Amino acid sequence: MRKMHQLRELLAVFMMLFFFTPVWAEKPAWKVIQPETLHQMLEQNSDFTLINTMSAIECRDHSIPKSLCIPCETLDKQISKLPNEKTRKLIFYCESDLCLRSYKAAEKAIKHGYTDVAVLKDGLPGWKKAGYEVTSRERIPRRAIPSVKPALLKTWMDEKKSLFIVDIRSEGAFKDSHIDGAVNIPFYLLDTQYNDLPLDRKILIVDERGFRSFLAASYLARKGFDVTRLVGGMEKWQKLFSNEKRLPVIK
Amino acid sequence: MGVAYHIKRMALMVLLCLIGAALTFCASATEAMVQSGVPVNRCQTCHDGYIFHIQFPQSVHGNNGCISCHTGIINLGRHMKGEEKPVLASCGSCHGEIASQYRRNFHYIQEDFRCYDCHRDIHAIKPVDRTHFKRSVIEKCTACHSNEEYVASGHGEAVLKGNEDGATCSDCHGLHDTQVYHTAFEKYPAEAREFYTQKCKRCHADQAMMKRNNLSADMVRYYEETYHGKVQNIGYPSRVAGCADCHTTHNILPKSDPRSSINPKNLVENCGRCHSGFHARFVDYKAHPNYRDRKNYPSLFWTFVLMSGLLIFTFLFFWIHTLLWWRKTYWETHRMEKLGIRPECTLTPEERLQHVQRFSPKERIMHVLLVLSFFTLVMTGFPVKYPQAAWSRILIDIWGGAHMAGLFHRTAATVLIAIIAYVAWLSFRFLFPQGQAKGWTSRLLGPDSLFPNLKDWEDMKGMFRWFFDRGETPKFDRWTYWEKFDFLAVFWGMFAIGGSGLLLWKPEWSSYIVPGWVLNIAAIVHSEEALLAALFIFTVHFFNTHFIPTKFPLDRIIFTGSYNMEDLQNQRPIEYARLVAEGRLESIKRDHPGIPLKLISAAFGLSSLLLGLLLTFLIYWAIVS
Repeated sequence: MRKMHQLRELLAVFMMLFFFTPVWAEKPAWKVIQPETLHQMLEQNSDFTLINTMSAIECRDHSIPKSLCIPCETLDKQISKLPNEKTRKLIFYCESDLCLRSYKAAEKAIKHGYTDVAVLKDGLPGWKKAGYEVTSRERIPRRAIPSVKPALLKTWMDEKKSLFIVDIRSEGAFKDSHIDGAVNIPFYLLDTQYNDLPLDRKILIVDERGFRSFLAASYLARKGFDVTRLVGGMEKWQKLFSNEKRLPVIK
Repeated sequence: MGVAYHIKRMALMVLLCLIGAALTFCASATEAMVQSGVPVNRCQTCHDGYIFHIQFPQSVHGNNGCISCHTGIINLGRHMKGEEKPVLASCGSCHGEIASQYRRNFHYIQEDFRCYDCHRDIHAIKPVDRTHFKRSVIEKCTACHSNEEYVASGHGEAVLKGNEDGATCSDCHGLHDTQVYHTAFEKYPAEAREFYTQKCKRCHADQAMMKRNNLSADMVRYYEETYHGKVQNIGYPSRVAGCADCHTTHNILPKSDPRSSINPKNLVENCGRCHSGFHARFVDYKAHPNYRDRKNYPSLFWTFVLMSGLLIFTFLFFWIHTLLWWRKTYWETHRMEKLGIRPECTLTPEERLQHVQRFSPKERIMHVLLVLSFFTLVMTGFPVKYPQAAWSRILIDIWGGAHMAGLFHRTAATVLIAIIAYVAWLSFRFLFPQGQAKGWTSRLLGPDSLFPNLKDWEDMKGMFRWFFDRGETPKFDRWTYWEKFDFLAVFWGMFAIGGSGLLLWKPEWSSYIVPGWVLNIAAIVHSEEALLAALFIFTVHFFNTHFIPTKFPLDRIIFTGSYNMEDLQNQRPIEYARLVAEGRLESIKRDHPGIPLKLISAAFGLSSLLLGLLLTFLIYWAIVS
């Protein structure tokens, strides 16, 4: 009888662990920092390092003042660019309010032993929405880049139109899925690999959600390429196909 | 003396030197300031292109010097050597309002566009040509955003043909304040839906503009009268269709065009974007009908007329009835008070105080459940009926939003339907006890039945005679005619309001039973019947049962279940006589209700009455405004 009671107690403790463990596990090791706080820290010249995790092209084009440019993909290689003392505060940000790249970079920094790692809430868009300025080291002149909607791209592909599709997402994302015949040049490598692109064919830039392709296209247009971009990136492209399946059967 | 002279001379020299140094410093500073006002022609000695030389002076900014935009050049010499570069031009220092709008612009937030990225010809820019403004907007936007659908649409066609009423890109998306959620890939569906629906309404509710273009400005109003429009207006657009959900965004075309989303052939697909599992005739639903239009919507028109007629007739009769009744009772009570007359009573003092049962515990519980479900239905339904009323948003937020209010509405409806079903079962058992059909007509028309009979007609006539001092109060049996009306009103009301409510609960399933346009009728019936029910209960029932001077402020019998024998004999003399004659009086004698029951009854009853009166006030407020 007593044993049964103990067993039940043990079970209860075990169940509690079962309920609480995921909460600990899910809690990210980095902190989230508000744009207002970051602005205050910049004003006060606080002791911290601010890192833009976008490609060098994007980072030089526009970023928060006093940012280091270390693309998320090359953080492991460029870890020496980060300060030596592991207790120094690091703040990562990226171009999208989803902050996926900053999260990745923050994770890597923690793996390298940094203890005080933070991610800027809502990234660069959040910073701008809060009304703060960005600086520009080497601005890429914006061009009127024509854009292609997923439906039109599908027609073009069905018509076998001569098109050179460049996927500027990271290698991993490209491996998971990509448009048939696309070539992968991640944005952070574009400034070193653009000369491999053909000058005599129309180039179509594809990115994750359609937010980065414009700058990549502007960069290439300036180099003399005939370039266009996919509206909404892979996200919209994949949605086009899932939508077609979802259409109700007409009775 | 000589020394003193020398010292004086030295001091003067030093002073002169200091003044000289100060002057030299000032002069160099002044030179720098002069440099900052570099005249245009100095710049053009180097920047001598056609655009700067010829086009700029003719442009809208031609009267400004170069450095009014290109600030930061202090020293021309250093600038010419390439050591000093101007800072980025800030248009906002003059165009402040536009700049502050632009800070919310999607192009700035996401792509870091600056003024000159759209206004490319900034050095040759001409004053805005208002006559072809909309066209120039299209040209600007389509430089990047190719949109064949828009060009082929009704709006695009109108603008390109020179109709300045047609919607250009900026009319919906904003010019300098293009919203962030617009291209944010359905991340903010509720905000986007509300934002764009407002944009459509801005033009399509403009009487003069619509008239010019042979369109109806009332469509917006008709849409706002439907479920989609009402829930949208109450501030919960995420689950209902806004304009663009059916009419699409860029390829808006007339119904007759086979490519149009609202072409009859495309309606199943169009409605299917939100609704699923419906029969094809579901699409017969009218998204913005005019139920005052007898020619085009006869069924809706006549439903509306019928429902309005029912409301007017019912209230006209019962409000007059109540008013006359109140008048008579008040005057009568006053007279008796003045003369010190007490109602005659043949009972002994003990008998007078003896309580007898009128409502069984089961019936009392049912009434409490009825009260609770009815209030829930009214308070969740009426905000949707009057979405424009000042109180409806507050009320709907108390429930936790339109969706939660809807859940409460359906739960309360289920409770009410269960009560009605149970009452129907009780009625059936009353008419056919133990399955006996024999004698059911005499039970139906008998004194214990709630079904009206000839005596009720006579009673009513008697009441009206009494109102005008032309006779005595009629002698009532167990149920008076107005109580029977209350009971039956709930019953037939339930068929109208419950039936239409069930159809609207799952409109997709309903389409397997009825075509879509019946749902339009159901919506009118449900709404008008709700108004009838709520106002009838909160005015007529409240006054007849509780606020009449002999019972004011509350007749708690429905909660306590019993009253004393004096009341029984006064209010229902025939029933009393019947009970005595049949020897049943003994079996319904009860103890006097205890204090807790009385207190709870009073608290529940009075708060219900107050809530009802408050809701009546809110409903009148909504109708008047």
